[in-house]
Amino acid sequence: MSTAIVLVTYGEPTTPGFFAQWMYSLRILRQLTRKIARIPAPLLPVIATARALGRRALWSRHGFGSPLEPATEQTVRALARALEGREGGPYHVCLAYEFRRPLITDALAELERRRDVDRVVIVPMYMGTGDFTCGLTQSALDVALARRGWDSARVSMCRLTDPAPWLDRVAEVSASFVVRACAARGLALPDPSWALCLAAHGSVQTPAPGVDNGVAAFGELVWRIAARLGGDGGLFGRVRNGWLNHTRGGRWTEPSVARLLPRLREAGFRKLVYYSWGFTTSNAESALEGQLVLDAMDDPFDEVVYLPCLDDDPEFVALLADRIEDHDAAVVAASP
Amino acid sequence: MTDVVLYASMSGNAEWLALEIARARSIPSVHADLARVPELARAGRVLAVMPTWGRGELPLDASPLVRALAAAPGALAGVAFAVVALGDRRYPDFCGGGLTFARLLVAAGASELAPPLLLDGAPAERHWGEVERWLARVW
Repeated sequence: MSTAIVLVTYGEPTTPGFFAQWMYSLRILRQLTRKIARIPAPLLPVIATARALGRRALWSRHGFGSPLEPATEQTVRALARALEGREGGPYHVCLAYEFRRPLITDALAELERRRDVDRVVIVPMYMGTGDFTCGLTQSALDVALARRGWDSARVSMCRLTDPAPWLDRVAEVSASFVVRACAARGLALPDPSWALCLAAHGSVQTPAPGVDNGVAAFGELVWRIAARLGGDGGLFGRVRNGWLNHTRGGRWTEPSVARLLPRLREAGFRKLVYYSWGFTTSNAESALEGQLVLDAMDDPFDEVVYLPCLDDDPEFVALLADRIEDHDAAVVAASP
Repeated sequence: MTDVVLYASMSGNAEWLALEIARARSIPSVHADLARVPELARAGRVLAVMPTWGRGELPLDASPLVRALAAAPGALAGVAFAVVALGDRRYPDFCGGGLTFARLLVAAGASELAPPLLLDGAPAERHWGEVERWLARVW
């Protein structure tokens, strides 16, 4: 018998094709945006159309294709290798998306057909917990489990940064990744003439009552990453966190990346490392939107080192394998 | 001699509150990352809005100013101040960032108008009434 590991990311079309973008936008509006904003159902296809057209135009203008799905597939393969021969195995690793096929329900249906799988571990590939990240996966999972009558010993969810010791491990690997990725690009640290912009997806500050916007969890993680990099005057002259925000739905987290970067210039920094720590896997926000903010600056930086996300970084994949093994062992130990 | 609202912020709540205070009271505001000790020394009164993050610490964007203040004992003699401290009781050292900053200002020679106002939890909007009442009393 084996344990199936399902890595879940939100999913994003690889190409700017209209229909794929439209369906993706519609699923986000239905499952996520309506947690924040009361949008009448008949308006959802209209908004999805506007968003899909906007994304198609933007991506086409920049010749952009999302790295999310290929990068997730690489992580799946790397994780499968890292889990080979581990004590709790054998492990079978696959993927699912929140807003694209294969959805979590698709993955569970497929695993149900397999006779050699006796446990399923769902791993939301989000750096922080909250209702707009792991909470999405949990909701989809709850629905799927209720339909199938599976129990939590058979199908469980493993959060990357919860409980707290794993938060420290993720911070450690993230900080190490920054140093290694900078070195690979010819930047030797420490160097106080460089500023580091840490970027993460923002959130609304005033969600509906009872909804966890995840800001506190993200704050705990970015504090740990910054501390491991030595804060200001450590490996970088300055370390700051900026948020990649949307514009609607209420007041968003600040400073946005667009406000933070000019502030770093104003403080005298001419060289910048940009790292989207808030995503495990490279995507349109990490790979394109930060770059667009940099390109639009009135007073740009002289030098920019733009880092990818953790993706299939060997240290990150090893951490992922350790976290899954630890979680699976706890599930087995708690089973009657 | 003018008043100034000084703030640091990691997620935007302290910033929102600081800018609302500045707007309501028609006081200029300055972000801690861009604040300079000599400029603060010229202010009559400083209203500092300081959040807490990590283990009861000031946020990163306050750190250049914190270092500058620590290196300038007595530089703020003649300046009066008050602190609005934001925190979350679920974590240790509730409002530790604001309380630390108040001590730092005292060490730099400033005089405290009133004990810090301690605010629990986000979003900042829900504290606005309490802040207005506190300001009416101490500012």
